[in-house]
Amino acid sequence: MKATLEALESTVAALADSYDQLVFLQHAVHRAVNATDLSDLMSLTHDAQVLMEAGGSAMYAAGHWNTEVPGWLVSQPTPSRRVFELDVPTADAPAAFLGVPFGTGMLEIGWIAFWDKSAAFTAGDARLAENLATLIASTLGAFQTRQRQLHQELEEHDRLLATRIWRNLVAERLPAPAQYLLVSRSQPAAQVGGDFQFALGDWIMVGDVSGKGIAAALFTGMFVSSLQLAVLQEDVGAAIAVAIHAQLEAAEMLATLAVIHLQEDGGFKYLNMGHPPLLIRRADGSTEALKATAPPLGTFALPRYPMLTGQLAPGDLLCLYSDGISEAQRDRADGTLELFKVSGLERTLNAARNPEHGLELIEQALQGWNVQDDLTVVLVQYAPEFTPAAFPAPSFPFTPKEPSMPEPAPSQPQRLELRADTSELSTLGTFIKDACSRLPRPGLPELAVTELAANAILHGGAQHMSVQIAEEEAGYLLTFEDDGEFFDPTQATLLPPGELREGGYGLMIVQRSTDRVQYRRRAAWNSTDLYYRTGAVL
Amino acid sequence: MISSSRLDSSSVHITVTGRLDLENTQQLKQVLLEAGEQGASSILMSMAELEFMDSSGLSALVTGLKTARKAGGELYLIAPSAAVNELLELTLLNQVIPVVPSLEAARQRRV
Repeated sequence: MKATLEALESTVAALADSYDQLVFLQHAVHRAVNATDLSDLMSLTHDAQVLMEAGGSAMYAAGHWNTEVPGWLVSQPTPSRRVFELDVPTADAPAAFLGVPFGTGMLEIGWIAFWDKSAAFTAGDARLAENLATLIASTLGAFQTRQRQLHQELEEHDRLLATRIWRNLVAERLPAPAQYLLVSRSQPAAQVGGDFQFALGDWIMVGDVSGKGIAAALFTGMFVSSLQLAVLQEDVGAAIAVAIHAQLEAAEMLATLAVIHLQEDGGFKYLNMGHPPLLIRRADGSTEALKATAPPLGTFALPRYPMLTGQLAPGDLLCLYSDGISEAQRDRADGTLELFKVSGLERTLNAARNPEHGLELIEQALQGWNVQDDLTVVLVQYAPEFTPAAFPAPSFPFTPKEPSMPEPAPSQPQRLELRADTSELSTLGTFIKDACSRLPRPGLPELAVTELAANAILHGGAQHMSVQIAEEEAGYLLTFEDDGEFFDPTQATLLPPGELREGGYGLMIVQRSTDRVQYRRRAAWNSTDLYYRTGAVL
Repeated sequence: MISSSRLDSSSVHITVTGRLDLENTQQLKQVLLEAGEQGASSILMSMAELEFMDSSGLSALVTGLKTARKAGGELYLIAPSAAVNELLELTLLNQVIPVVPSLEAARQRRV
């Protein structure tokens, strides 16, 4: 009878424990849902400890114990299932111990431990601990999801803020200086980049700050405010550099900038700080590129930034743009990537009658291309006493036009054929220098052809090379040919000038030393034409 | 032609004349490398009689300049010829590589 009573009392006690545990878990679910950090979960673990009448408890999550724990616990590995004994026995181990793992993900993984109970932990205690562990793992997962959402919301907030700042700073349309027609387009990328366009009186500027988001938008703001003061200074570039360079350098960012000052008689002066070349589509259909005259801001500052000068004739079309256009890309049929490049823009502008029409042609040409960055285009045409019919396109309706070369003069071209070997470079150089003696800088053709030859020998595996020089009335046409692998120097990506690096100068020298470069593949030969005007000093 | 002479424990004077292109740039790189290995941090390059230099020559100069600066020194171009100046202007490296009018001026700059 006594034994029966004891068994009954034990059952009632177990039932009471179960009821207490059930109530605890009901409350625990509610508390877990409202938990905001790990301390709430530690508090739950502690309450479970009290319910089990244990002397200690702890939670291991996110790679560490969340409270101070006894030394013997620190050395225990995370158990793979419920355990009542330590995996690593120690002298000071507690008499009673319960460990329960939780989680399967990398970050939610962990375990909870209970110890110091007057009797052994029961199966009921273990079930309670396992239910609690499941709850903890779910709550930790919810914490992570909440953090991700918060992060995304912050990013979206930053993106919208950057767009608002940028749009306030960068006008969508620029005013036209007197005697000029002007259209512009500025379109931010999904993640606002640092493109900006700005006009003040006869000054027009287009720039690009590296980076994206708020940082780029803020630098754009600094540019816009400093440009307004800089144009009043004698050395505009130096004034901008004083205002911006150190800040860009400190932020490990850089910026390119093209500045042009247009005069009413068509004359202009410009400064190009590492920006893509400004293009002039002349009224006769030829194109000129105004390449970088100084390194980008934020790389190294120069003491002076002299501006170069030029002249626009009525009908000439000037294009300032950002690399959003030249770096627009699409997939070729063979899966490789194709860039729109500056040459794509040159071809497009060839048929433009006026700025409006030019912009329309650019938009048409970019259809099917993926523009990933901000996109900025400013088209300006010199139009003194403008009448709409004054400037027909050089060839319209549009017919793709190869860059024109002057007609050969009657004099017989000179030709030299050589093995493609570095030992022949000296002979090649002497031949060119002698033949181009009328040029104001006779060393330039030698330099450019030597670079082409070195490239063919080093990288193209060429065996033979030749150069032909035709003397024109207004200059020299040099045709360099090699039988190396296909290589089009006009399509190569050029690195900026003025940087301390060991390579990447050869093709830049070719591009910057000539008035015009044209490439074609002729059977197994790379054939590159270089044109030098006798009257021009580059 | 490329020749070099030691000025003191930390300086070397290198003279390049004639032509510097892919054919002989390696020779200049070797001279610069040896100078660096022997502890020369000041490289004084006389290039007044260099009639032609291409981008491989520039590459050697940039390597030498970087090595010198890493060792706490500098590379100076002494009175470069018109051809060298033209190349430096074309690549804007005239803004980065120090140019001095004479060997004496270079020696004064490094102290």
